[in-house]
Amino acid sequence: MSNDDRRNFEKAVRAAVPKYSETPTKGGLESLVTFGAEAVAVETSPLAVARNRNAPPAERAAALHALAPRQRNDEEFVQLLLKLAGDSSEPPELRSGVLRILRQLRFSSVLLNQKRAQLIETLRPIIDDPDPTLRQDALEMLAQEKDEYVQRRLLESLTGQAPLPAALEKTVQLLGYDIHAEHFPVLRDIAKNAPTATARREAVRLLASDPQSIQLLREIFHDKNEDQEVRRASANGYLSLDPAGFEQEAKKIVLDPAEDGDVRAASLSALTHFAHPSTRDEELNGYVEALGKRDLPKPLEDAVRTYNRRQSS
Amino acid sequence: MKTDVAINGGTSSTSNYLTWSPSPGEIWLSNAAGATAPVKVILRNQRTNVGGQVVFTTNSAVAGTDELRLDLPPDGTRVPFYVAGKYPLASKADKDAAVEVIESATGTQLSLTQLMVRIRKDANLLTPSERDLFISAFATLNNRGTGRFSIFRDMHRGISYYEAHGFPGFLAWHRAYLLDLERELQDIEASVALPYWRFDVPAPKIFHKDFLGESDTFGTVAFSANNPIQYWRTDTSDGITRDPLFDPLTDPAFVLSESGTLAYGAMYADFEKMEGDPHGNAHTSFTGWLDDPATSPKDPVFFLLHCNVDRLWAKWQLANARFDVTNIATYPHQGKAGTPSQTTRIGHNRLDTMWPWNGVKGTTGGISDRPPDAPGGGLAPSVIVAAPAASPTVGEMIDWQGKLTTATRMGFDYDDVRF
Repeated sequence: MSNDDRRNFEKAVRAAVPKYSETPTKGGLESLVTFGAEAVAVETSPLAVARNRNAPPAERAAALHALAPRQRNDEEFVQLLLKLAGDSSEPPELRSGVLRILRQLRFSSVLLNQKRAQLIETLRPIIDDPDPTLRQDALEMLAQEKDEYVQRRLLESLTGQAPLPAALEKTVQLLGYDIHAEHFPVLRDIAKNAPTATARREAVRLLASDPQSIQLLREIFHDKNEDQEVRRASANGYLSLDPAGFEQEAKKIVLDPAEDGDVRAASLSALTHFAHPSTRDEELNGYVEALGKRDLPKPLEDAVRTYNRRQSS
Repeated sequence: MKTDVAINGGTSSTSNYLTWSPSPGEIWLSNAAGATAPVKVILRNQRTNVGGQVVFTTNSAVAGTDELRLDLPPDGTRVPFYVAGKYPLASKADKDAAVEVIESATGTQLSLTQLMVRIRKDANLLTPSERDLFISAFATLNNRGTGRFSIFRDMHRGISYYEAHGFPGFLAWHRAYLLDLERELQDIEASVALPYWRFDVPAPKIFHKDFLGESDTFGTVAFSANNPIQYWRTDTSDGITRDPLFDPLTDPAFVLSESGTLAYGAMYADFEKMEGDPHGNAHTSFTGWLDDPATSPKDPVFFLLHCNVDRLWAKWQLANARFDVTNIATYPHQGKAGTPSQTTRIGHNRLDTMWPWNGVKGTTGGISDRPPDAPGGGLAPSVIVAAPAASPTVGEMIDWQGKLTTATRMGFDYDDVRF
């Protein structure tokens, strides 16, 4: 499923939910029901619709959505959700919709929270499903559960021992749900060598808790040939790991008119909100005040205005 | 001749914040200039076409009016009154409202008191200034992961799930949680009120780089280079991961509408289904941190989402007159844990205090046990109100406006929920 397909499916589900919200959960007379352009003789209770493989997936998902608030602690309902999610013969859009309902029940169902082991067991096979949306949903849910199996699969794929279960950028991001020191060498390699700026950025985000990466983050922050998004991500980590060092480097960047406008603005924003007062010295104050009188690109103009306003208040 | 005015029991500007609920005030002659008879004065808004507006009354049970006439004793005896924000005319900036005291006989201004009608607003409708003050305060509270926001993060983890979810006290717990955070924000910037994300209509200004960020294809949130939220940090994570399953520029989240939510029913036992939809569905209209209870408060949008959940509860309360905490229609679990009157999990009966503000610790955080830690101490106090207690009960979170007794008002209100 593409993102657009998924959005359109969710819209169709939401539009159909009211049809099932007031009907009895179970039982119901057989009648003619119109699904889109097709009239089908079915039992019309939401549970029956949800179980009916001939009903359109959006109708089935809508029936389940309508049931969820009132059936959230019902054993039969929760087991049906787990069964549908794990059944590879069911349509992928229905299964994706069911995973969303399971995520919703994580917020409101005591019963589901007591069945976390069964949920994990249901999700694990889905990370190898042919459908990429289902794979990614299951991967993320397992990563959120800090499932040791999925952590191992993610790391193996990032070290080339197995195929990536999702895009490189997403695989790196998912590792962040349960980051460990053993991940940092792999992440440093990706931060330096990954083919896309986004992948490098995701790795840099996760290095913000690695003291051994201070020098790498400093180098990326200063690298005018690096993508500005990666440089800004490194600024965040560098600031966390070495605030005093960052402040001095950020000040140099602000004072350098040859620097990237967004990186200058982001550096100035950090100095405005988080820097030690001694960093906001006469040299910086005077320079930024003078900048405020010039035409600047908008992000830098905004950052200069904010800094000057703070200094004067 | 001069008058002094005290609002909310204080004379400094830190007390001069109002909501729609009547706040106690006092006025007296601080310089009678030789008067020997009571001096007739008029209290009124200084400007009626700009800023927040207020109304006055001498009886908190009676609706306020635009002007109030009082007689002030020449010996300086204080005369009580009430003042409230004039619904729906909230302030747009700190102290943009003012109460003017005029001597009736001469029209002379005797004092001017600056104040703010400080109201929780639709985040999509904030002015740029309101927005920037809010995100600046929030970024300061987070302070790159080293600030007090980490306490709020620690209050809402997997191990504390049952304290706040799956049981009837869900709404009361989150009301206390939001209020605690809002008061900490107000310690940083007094004019800030927590805004809400109205998730059943499009809200493109919230999911913008100048506010709470715009997600890329992988769900990493980008901010404009001037936005301090770009330095957001929680646990060991920099930045924010949030991938909307809907188009935030044009569509609402995949949730039950406001009218559908309010139609759940007039009994709390029916209304609490909103924990699933729209609340749970608002969370799971994204993938990323927001869609798991254990990680959701890492994303600042969480607090705007829950502010709307609380607003929906407030609207339901107003629509069904659900302020009497002893009424089972207002809240059905009237007892106390550990007694024969207990009818639901500890922490969710009306007379139960709530973790973590009660400081009670357990071992596992399981369904019948408290979490092993209780971060943060008591609920933050307020300069303008005394409620709720530092260790509030579920029941104390019900009458937020002080409808039945002014002592229970909590110092917040919503832009579209009148008193």
